[in-house]
Amino acid sequence: MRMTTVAASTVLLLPLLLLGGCSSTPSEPTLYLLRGQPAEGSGEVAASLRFGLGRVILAPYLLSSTGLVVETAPGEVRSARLHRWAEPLDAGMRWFVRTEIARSLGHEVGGGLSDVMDWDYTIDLYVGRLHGSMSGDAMIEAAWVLRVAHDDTALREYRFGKRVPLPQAGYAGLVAAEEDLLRQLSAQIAESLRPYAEQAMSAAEDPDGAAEPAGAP
Amino acid sequence: MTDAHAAVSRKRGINPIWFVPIVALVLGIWMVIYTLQSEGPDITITFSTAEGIEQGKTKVKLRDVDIGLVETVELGEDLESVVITISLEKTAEPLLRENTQFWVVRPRIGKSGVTGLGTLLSGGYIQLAPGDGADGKRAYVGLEEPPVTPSSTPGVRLVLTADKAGSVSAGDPVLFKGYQVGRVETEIFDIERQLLTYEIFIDAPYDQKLTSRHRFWDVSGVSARAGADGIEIDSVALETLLIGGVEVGLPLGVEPGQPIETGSEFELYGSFADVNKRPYRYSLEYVVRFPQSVRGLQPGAPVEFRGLRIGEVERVMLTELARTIPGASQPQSVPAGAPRGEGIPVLIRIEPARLERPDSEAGLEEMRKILQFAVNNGMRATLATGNLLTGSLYVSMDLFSDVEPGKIGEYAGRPMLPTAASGLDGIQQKLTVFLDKLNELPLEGTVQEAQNTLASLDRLVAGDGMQSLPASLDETLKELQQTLSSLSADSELQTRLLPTITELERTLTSLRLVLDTLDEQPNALIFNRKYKDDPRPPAGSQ
Repeated sequence: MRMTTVAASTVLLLPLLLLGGCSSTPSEPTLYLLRGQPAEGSGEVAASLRFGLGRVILAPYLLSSTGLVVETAPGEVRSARLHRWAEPLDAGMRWFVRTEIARSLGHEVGGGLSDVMDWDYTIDLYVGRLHGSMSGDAMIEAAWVLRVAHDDTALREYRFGKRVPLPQAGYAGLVAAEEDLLRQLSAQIAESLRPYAEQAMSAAEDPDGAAEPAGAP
Repeated sequence: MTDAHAAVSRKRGINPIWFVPIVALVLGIWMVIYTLQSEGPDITITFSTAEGIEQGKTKVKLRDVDIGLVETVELGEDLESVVITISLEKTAEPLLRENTQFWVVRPRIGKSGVTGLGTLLSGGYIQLAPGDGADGKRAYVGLEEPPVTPSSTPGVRLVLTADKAGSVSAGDPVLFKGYQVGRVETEIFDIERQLLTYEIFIDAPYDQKLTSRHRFWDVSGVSARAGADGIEIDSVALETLLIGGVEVGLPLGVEPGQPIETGSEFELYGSFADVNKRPYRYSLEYVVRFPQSVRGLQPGAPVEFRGLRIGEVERVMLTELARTIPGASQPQSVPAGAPRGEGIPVLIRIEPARLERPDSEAGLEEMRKILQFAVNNGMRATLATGNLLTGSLYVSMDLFSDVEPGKIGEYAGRPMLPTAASGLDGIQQKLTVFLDKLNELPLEGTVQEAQNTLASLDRLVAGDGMQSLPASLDETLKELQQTLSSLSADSELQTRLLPTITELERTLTSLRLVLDTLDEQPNALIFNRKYKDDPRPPAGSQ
């Protein structure tokens, strides 16, 4: 008689617990999109020379979650639960960097739609650090390698490190600061490509003296 | 008449007449004493013959000064000798010492010239050569020949030995760089040792320059060598060429050793070339037995350790080998421990001085220990080819890493070093083993099976199924080509597959986040998780 009463109580209580759990309202995370300023107009990749963004490799801690990362103490980072990137960071970064390089260089840069075999040069990007800090800064450390596309030969390797202050407190300010860092990184990458672009342009104007694009200036 | 009486009185004293005999007696005593004091000693000298010696006439001289006279000449008790009694002057007494020498000076014709011509007129005399040693000696044995070197001459006496008689004989000069520094004194054949023994004397101060590493060789004659540079003839002074001589010097490339001592024994080499072949006195003899042919291995062939010459081949031990052959005349005399048919024994000589060891008995003992240690650690003797054109062989010693620790055995009473096959012979042995194994293979059966297999294969290829195989294969290849083209980078499959894989990666990333959440809070599926507030980064200082 007593056992029957306990079992009946349990059967009634379990759905109540489930309903109670589901009734709680979870916190809504804020999602950030890494796109920068929307590009206006249209362009064509230079016929004589085309750059393509190849591999974009991020440090594993940036891919272990989609939350924005803040360094709370030296060597200690925390990924935000309520402030996340709207898409995987490598995908967003590829779009952002490619757009910004093209803006700085004045040429379209491949890296998503066109056939990689048509590129003359490939840029492989490695980002080892991209996060904010509790001291009000955002920092980046990155490197890129310029390769000959057809045989993957490395021509040159560059490094870039920067720290900028957050324009405002909070994660919106962190996103703005990281966009600023990626923009500066893209400008540096574009500068490193410029001699090759100019050489290709001069070769296009003088077809008789056209040199092999792989010949570094 | 008065009688006169003479008074007789005895006169006291000695009659002066007695002075005469007294004086005579005194004079006699004085003369005896004087004679005894002024007379020299009497000595006896034994010669084999009394040729040229006359009693009461023959004198004894020193530096042409008469110091004695032959008193008597008598036959000895054995009737094989003559005993001469000589009365020497008093002044000659200090000359009578243990090593004082006497000989008869008479006309002689020798290799070094004619001597004693003066005695043709004056007659012979006995020459005394002062010596050293204890005094008081009165009986001597005279020399039949004049001594080449007086016993009091400063220098050293050495002994040379040779296994055969050359042109060297007593009186021949000993030359050092062509200059005479001594002479050969005696030449005796030692019956016990079966060696010719020469006693030589090296004058001072040249004896100070000679060392234990100097060697003596016969220079009597002319040596000629024909080589690529022409014919080279070596000769010595005409005197030496005619009467013979001994040259002393260091072998090529050998440093001087310890100072020599009187009585030291050296070997008399036949020529300077012989000296350089075997420039050291002390050597160790070992036996090595080679299982292969020793054709081309000559006595005198080098024994080398990794290219360094440490000795030479003495001889192939044919005599000892003959005793080990079954059916030999004296099979019972097989040396103890000598295995039968295990190779040709070769006697080699290892010279410690070639390895900077002392050229002495101590060096031999040290070398024995070194060889014992080396053999224990894998040293083996091998027969190597010295000249491919002439086929000359030499004995090479080296350390082998793939051999068992060896030991020094014994053969025919001599120590025996272990050997190993190497070089062409080693290859030949390995090739022989390989061919033997190849010969043991059942080749005939294998060939027959192969023929049967080929016949079966031929029937299989000629079959209908095999004939239609190329067409089927062609179709299969076409299908495979189509399949592969569908997997190319621009194929529809690839176009769809890549985004799918990307999406799958992202899904897995999200799933990992869920799993991490469940790991941290297992009831997160039911209850909303209570997160800590995200850290809020402050604004930076501009």
